[in-house]
Amino acid sequence: MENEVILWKAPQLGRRAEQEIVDGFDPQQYPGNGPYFTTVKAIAEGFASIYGNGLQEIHFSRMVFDNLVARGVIVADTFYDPNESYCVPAARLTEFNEAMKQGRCFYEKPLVVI
Amino acid sequence: MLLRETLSCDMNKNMVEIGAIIEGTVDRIEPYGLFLNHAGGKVVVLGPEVSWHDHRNLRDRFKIRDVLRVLVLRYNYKDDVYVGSIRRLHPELNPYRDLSRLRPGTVLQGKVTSLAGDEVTVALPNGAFGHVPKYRAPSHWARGQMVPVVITALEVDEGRLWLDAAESYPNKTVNGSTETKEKQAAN
Repeated sequence: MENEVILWKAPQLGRRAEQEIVDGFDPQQYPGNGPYFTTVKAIAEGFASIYGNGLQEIHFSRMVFDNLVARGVIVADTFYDPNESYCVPAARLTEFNEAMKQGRCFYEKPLVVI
Repeated sequence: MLLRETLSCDMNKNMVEIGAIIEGTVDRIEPYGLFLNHAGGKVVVLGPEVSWHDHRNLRDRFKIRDVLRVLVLRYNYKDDVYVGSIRRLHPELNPYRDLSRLRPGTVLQGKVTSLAGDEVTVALPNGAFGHVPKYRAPSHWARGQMVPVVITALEVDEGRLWLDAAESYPNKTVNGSTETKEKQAAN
C-alpha cells in the first residue's frame, strides 16, 4: 500500500482556490456535506474542465488519512467507485484544515490557451 | 429471513435497476451536476457525465423541467440518490471509443495540460485525455507542449486513458510499421 494519499479537488469558479490551499476550507463556504474530494486525478480534471479554475492537490501520509477517515473527518461517499470519492462535513473542516498543515498542498492554475 | 424472501419483499420498493435507461425531469441545476426526478426518486448526473465534448456551464445548457434520458450507473446508498450518465448514451461521440480502434503502439500527439501530482496529463486533439506516470515522462515536458504518447490502457465507457511517453515505449507504431526496441537501438 502506498504511503501517501493525494486528494484532488476542482474548485468552482469564484472560489479563492489558491488561498484555500494556504488557509484551509471555510465551513461557511461549504455548508452541509462540505467540500468533495477525489483520489483520482482524472475525476477532478473532468470537473476542472467545466469550472475552469484549476486543480487543488492535498497530500496526506497514509497514516494521517486513515486516521481522519476513522474519526469521521473525511467521509467516503459512493458517487464514484469505493475509495475514489470523499467529502469533509462542514462541522469537521477545522480538523481537516489542521491536518492539511501537516501535509503538502498545491494549486495548479488552469492552462491558458493562447 | 432467507435472501429469496428478503428479495421478494424488497422488490416492491420500485428500485430502478442499475444499467436501466430512464427518463427524468430536471428539477435542480448545480455547477457540479443535474438533479432529476424519476418516479419520485432522485437522480444526479455529475458534470463530467453530461457530455463527452460540451464543457459549458450546465445552467447555460439545461433548464428546469427539461426531460432527459439517463443511463443509471449506480445507487448512492448514503444519500439515497441514483447516479446516472447522459454521455454514455452517446457512444458514437465517445472520443475514447475512437482510440480503441488504433493499433497498439500507435504514436499520438497530445498537449501537456497538467503536471500536478505524480501523473502528467496529456490532452489529445479528439477531446480525450490521459495520464503518463511522471517517472515515465521526460523531464523536459512542460505545460502547453505537444508531446508524443502511446496508449497503455483504456477504459472506453469510463473515459479513462493511461499513456506512456512514446520515447520510453518499446514497440511503437510509426506510419503503420512497428518499431521495436532493437530497431530503435539500430537507428
